[in-house]
Amino acid sequence: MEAQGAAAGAEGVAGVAVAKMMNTPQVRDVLRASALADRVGLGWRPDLAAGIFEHLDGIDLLEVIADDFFSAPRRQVRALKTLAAQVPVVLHGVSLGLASSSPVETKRLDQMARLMDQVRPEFWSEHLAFVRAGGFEIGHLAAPPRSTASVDATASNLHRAQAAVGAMPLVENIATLIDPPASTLSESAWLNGILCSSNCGLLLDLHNVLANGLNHGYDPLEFVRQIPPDRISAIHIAGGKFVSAPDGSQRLLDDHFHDVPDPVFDLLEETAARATGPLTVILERDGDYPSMDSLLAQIAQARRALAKGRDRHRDRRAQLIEAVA
Amino acid sequence: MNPFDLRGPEFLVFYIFFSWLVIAGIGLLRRLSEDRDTGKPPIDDPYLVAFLRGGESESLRVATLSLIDRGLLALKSSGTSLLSLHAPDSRLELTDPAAIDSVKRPIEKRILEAFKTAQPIHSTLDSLAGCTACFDYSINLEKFGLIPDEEVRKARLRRVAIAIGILLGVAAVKIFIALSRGRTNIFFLVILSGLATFLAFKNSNPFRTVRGEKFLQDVRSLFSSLRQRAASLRPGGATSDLVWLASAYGLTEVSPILFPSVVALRPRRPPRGPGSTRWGSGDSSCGTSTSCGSGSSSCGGGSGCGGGCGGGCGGCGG
Repeated sequence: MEAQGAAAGAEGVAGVAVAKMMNTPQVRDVLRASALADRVGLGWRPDLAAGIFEHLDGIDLLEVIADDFFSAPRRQVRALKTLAAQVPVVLHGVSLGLASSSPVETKRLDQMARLMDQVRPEFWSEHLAFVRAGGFEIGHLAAPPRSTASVDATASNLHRAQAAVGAMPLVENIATLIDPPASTLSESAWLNGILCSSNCGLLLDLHNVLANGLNHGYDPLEFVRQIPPDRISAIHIAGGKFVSAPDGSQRLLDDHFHDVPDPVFDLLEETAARATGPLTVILERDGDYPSMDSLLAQIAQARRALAKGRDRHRDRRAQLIEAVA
Repeated sequence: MNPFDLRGPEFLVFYIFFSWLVIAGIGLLRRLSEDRDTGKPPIDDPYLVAFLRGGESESLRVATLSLIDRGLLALKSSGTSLLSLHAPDSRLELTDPAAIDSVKRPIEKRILEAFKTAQPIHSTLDSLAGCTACFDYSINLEKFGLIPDEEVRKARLRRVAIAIGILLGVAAVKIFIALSRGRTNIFFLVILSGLATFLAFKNSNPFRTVRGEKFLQDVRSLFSSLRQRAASLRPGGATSDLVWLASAYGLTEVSPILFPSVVALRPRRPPRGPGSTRWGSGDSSCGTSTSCGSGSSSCGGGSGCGGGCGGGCGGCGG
């Protein structure tokens, strides 16, 4: 009994010592690095520059709109390289029109390739949308009909993009106020079709999922569960507002002018609980900028949601291992 | 063709072209040797950028402006108008002694300590020249190759000495030949060689290295939207927009309507002209010279500079 007590006591002392050792900043850093390297960053907007540089320690990475630099003077591209030397940068395209039945313009792919070569971002991404047709620029990210034909056309464009740029982009689901006419597939089936046929990763925009779910009557949480978890590499979180449709109903508009609503954080937790690889989360804000403290608070909330989701992921994994054992 | 056989006016034309080649040559050599990758300079400290743009004096003034905006320093002026803020008896005083421990940057701490009791602005800031916090910025900028260190300064000196030797040597040979041929009209050549020597010397040792110049341009490019929003920045220290605007572009870009205290901080002495040469290492007055130095955007388009910097800065409007 005494021996047992002594052993338990020794174990307790050792436990305290280990706990103390584990709590040193060096060990914490090692543990953080060895954990799933989820990161949370912010969309780079010049209006936020001062706040971003003042709080670089709280921002893991920045997402830069690539199209802003396609025709920029050399000096601006060099400034972007300087930015990329300070903090990890990823590039985000908005004008390629990957989900189009017509091939992506070679000129735009070349511009993206050149910028990729100059900035050397960690990855690049583009929307699953069409932005021009028949020689007309829509000036908007439009959802194509969700059909096997558009899956094939998009996959073809993705392979062209990969060949030209040298890396496959992550593809992003878009928000749409109207269900695309002539669709034969559900949004999740269409998205999964593209992911399978092109073997690319997904940039899952959770506010777009929420908006489409509310606007078109499906459960956003169920949508997230239908996405192959191993394909989700990056996540966009943003806010929007409700607008009135002509029939008097309310539609959620993804305008990036508002704070991230709680349901998006719930979706983030669910995604983190399911995703198998590290996640890169980007907070998007395009205007009506709040204080930097508010943006940092949303980044912190995203970190908490990620952590909760990862805890659930670990618990489920532990349960599975236990069940198998 | 032997250029020394050219007649007077032709030789003067040749000498102008030759001088331009020599001066451009040392500029090119400087460009090639000073654009080395010497690590990743940080962009998380606005005062480092202010130092790079305008030297020690600028970083002190920008930090002081930020402290006033955040309410940690209060202006004691004989009047309330913008003109009275620029009066020589304008003083600054710490509002709360606890603030000294609450600020995080050493330069801010040092400034707050200097204004523990009401002190005249300009002389107190001048007295902070060479403080440890400023020295650290200087060391950091040298480390990243953004301002010249001793080695770079020596290399510049070597280059300019050789260039001046060549310029004066060619002129001396021609003068000797002319005199030996009984021609005494050497006045223009003497003037021209003096001018060429002056230009070579003047352009040989700018405050920033080529890498420093590029880095400052990059920072300005990243903060370009701040300059466009200068008239709508929020006072009261709610954001760091003000400090970054002043750091990247200068106090002249800060609206005196929104931030009246900026008037009191603008240098009273006319800064030295663009391209001023400084061979010493501890001359803080270089700062004010380079705030107007490039003659480009640092002076905010000239008009803003005229009133604030005085006549010495009026010329950098380009």
